[in-house]
Amino acid sequence: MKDFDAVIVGAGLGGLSSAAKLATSGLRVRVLERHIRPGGYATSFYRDPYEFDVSLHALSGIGTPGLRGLLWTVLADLGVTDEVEFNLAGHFYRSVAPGLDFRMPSGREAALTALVDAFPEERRGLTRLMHRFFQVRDDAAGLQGRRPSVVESLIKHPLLSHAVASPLAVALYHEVKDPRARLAAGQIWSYFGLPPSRLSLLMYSVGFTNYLTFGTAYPRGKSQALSNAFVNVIERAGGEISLGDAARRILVRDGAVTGVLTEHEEHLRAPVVVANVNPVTAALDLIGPDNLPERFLRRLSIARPSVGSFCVYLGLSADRTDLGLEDYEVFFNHTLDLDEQLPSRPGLEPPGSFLLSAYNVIDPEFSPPGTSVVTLVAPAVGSEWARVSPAEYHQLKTRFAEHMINRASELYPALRDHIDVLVTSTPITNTRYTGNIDGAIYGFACTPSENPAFRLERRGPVAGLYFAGAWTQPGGGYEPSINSGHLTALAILEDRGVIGKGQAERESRGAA
Amino acid sequence: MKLRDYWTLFADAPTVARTIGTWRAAPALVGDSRALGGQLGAVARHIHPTRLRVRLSGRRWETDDTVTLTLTPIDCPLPAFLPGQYVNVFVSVGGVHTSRPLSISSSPSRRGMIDLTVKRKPLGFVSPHLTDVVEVGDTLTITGAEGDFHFHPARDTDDLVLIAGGVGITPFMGMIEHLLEARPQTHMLLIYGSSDADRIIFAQRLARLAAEHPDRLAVVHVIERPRLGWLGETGLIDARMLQRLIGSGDLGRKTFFLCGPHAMMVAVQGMLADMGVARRRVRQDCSAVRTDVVGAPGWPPEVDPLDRFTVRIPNRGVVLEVMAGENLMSSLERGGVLTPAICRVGTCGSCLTRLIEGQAYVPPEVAVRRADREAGYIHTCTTYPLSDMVLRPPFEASRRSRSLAAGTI
Repeated sequence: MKDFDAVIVGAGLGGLSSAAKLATSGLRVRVLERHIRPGGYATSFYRDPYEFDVSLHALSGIGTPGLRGLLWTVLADLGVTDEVEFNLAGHFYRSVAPGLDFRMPSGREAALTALVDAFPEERRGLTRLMHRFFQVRDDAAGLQGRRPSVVESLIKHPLLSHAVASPLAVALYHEVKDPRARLAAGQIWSYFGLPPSRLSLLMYSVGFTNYLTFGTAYPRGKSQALSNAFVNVIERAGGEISLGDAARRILVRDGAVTGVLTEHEEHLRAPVVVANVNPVTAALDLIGPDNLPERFLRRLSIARPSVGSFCVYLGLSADRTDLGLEDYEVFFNHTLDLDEQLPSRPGLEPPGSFLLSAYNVIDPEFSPPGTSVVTLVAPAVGSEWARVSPAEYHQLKTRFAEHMINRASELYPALRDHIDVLVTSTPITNTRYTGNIDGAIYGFACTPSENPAFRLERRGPVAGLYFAGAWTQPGGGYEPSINSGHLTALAILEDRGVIGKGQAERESRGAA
Repeated sequence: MKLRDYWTLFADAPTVARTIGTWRAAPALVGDSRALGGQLGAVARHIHPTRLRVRLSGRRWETDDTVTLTLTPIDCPLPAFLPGQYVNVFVSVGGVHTSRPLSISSSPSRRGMIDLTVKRKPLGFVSPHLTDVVEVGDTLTITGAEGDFHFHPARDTDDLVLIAGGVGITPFMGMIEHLLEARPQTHMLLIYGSSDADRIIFAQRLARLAAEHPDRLAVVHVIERPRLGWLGETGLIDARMLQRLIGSGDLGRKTFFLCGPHAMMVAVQGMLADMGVARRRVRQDCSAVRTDVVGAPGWPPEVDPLDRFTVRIPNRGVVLEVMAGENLMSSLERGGVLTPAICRVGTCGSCLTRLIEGQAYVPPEVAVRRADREAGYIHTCTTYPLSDMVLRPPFEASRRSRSLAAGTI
């Protein structure tokens, strides 16, 4: 039996950042990771001579030396910024659809100007929309993690109150009439995995404005470098990371966590356990429903997992300039109707809309000289993939990949003729590696009812149990997951009296 | 702001009710510990099993030193595979638990069983066990199907040149059978080098297929040491022979697949490059990593392959002696330390190990991710010790009974 101050189950970004904060604050921590690599989705894979990023394309919250975002502040606090350098994209995205080819720059003013230049008749609505997005973001940041009363919210922060309860469509369709303008301004819905009618307006406002303000960043050495940097920070602070080492049970006695039993029958005693696994697995497999209050199980059972992803990873035997790749993030839309782009029951049809990320644009060293790497990503509904029979799985993957490559080749004709390596992944792949239900990539779906205000709380229903990662407040994606781990660590430090309440609040400022 | 907008908060109400219903009716959907990842987790484990128990239901000598093992399922179905992929086979030889990746030599069109074809190496450790010791009725443990050495319609052309050497024919057998049946637009030329005419593996099957599909499959045997009366190609595959056999057609429309001994792969790759074939049109099996590292580029000349070093593994409480000339994975297995293994040639990444202290040699053709290199990770299967070491390997996958994560995408 070994004693720790905290055991972290799962070395995803939420687990790593909470472990890093706890270890650097002097706690003895052990991180258990079932996979042989740290990072969860923040990892890469290799197919000679290309290294592909599994998930990361657009990192928010980094900014520039004069203007740093929240993520940078958190990473700097943990010492991760000493280990990783970041590249920034020149502009935000390109949006291609029938009758539309729009480039969105970074920066609030530039973005509004570009939108108004493209759709002058929508000037008023677009200006109001942009104002709404930023006002919601500023109001949320101004609360500094505090929960105001309903009356205060309605009187002092009407736009925020509205955004907390509403989907993006309510603002987007109200302010903008031209479907092309709606698409141009609502394009990054797929960064959240839900079309406007179902996507939280609060989450879109905060995410969209963060990208506009702090730009799109990408770490040198890919997302694996980010995960490895966390590991270095944890180990330097005396923490332990055990890979290929899964938790079997989170041990609970008399309503409090007592430690973790691993798959290798190792008993780790600890008063604090951070679950950086999907909470359904944590509750039912690791803790056991008998150890949890009924209301918590009910809470879990009403939430839905987010979409998964269908990805085509392409290693290309030509320089990006020879392929005509000039934009980093390119959205392909088969229709102007945003809600048509991801029907709630899409069936197993090849995706019409997807994102192309041309990594060599943001990172010239991404692949060997004379080659490039492009990833095509489409949202994919995990429950649909659960119906696939193993015999047809490979055929289906091939059919989807061919469809997306053909669509991408309409804009970049040379692409097709330079495919050297082709790898596809599905929600099944995601579940295989992460155990996430439905191959979810953003934790719980980013609906209004799962926005940061209502999302699963970091303090679990059992004393000493905490959650971190995409399933927890504030939400899915790289920046929210890392922030989630940081906030969870602050909550633990506060609960254990290591830091005062005021300090925890100051440190978590703006993270809601 | 309109009051009615607040109702959107409850827009998901029907889903909520449905989910609660599902929860009550079938907690196993998420509640069974074997159902990690929910329903999709079960599908994932079916398609990508970490470990699978199979029965050896048939064995057939192909030549005097090569045998085909037929495997059938015991308690769960065999994994779906693409022709050209391999499985890793776990065996216990002389008390040492180890494994060897073997190409699947049957076609996926034949359901319910898979064939593995293995050649006995004269001084081999595992291959004689598989060719001569295991018996029909024995139980074997394998991984799911892995590897990228397969035809991909979105990437490859339909005019294929398959170049095999010796037992390197195995991945091609299933590929040829499957493509002939499932993809009528493909044309294949198989150039197959064997040491002598008696050592041609699958000779009759290939002859029959070529006779049945004269316009779609041509088979050319190249015999290194022909007996009197052999009328076909002789010697080793060389550039002139390749050029003559492939003909003057449009080279840019052909896709080449290579599988054979390391030296042959390197030589043929060079010939194809000289002929102007684009690198991306040449696919090679991942067994192209050398196993004889002494004298390979970068090998320190002062180190003898028999030099012995000590490896400490603190998280297992183990200290063992290893040899410079043997890869760390095999040395660890001899010492009873099991680590996850699938490809054993440095590509799958499942044996990723932290090198905490010590010097190591890695052959130049083995690729390690930049972030891993900088963070001090090695693949034990393709790393050779050059000093005493401290290692932290991951635990072996079979002990992680609920594990999904071991393998490649």
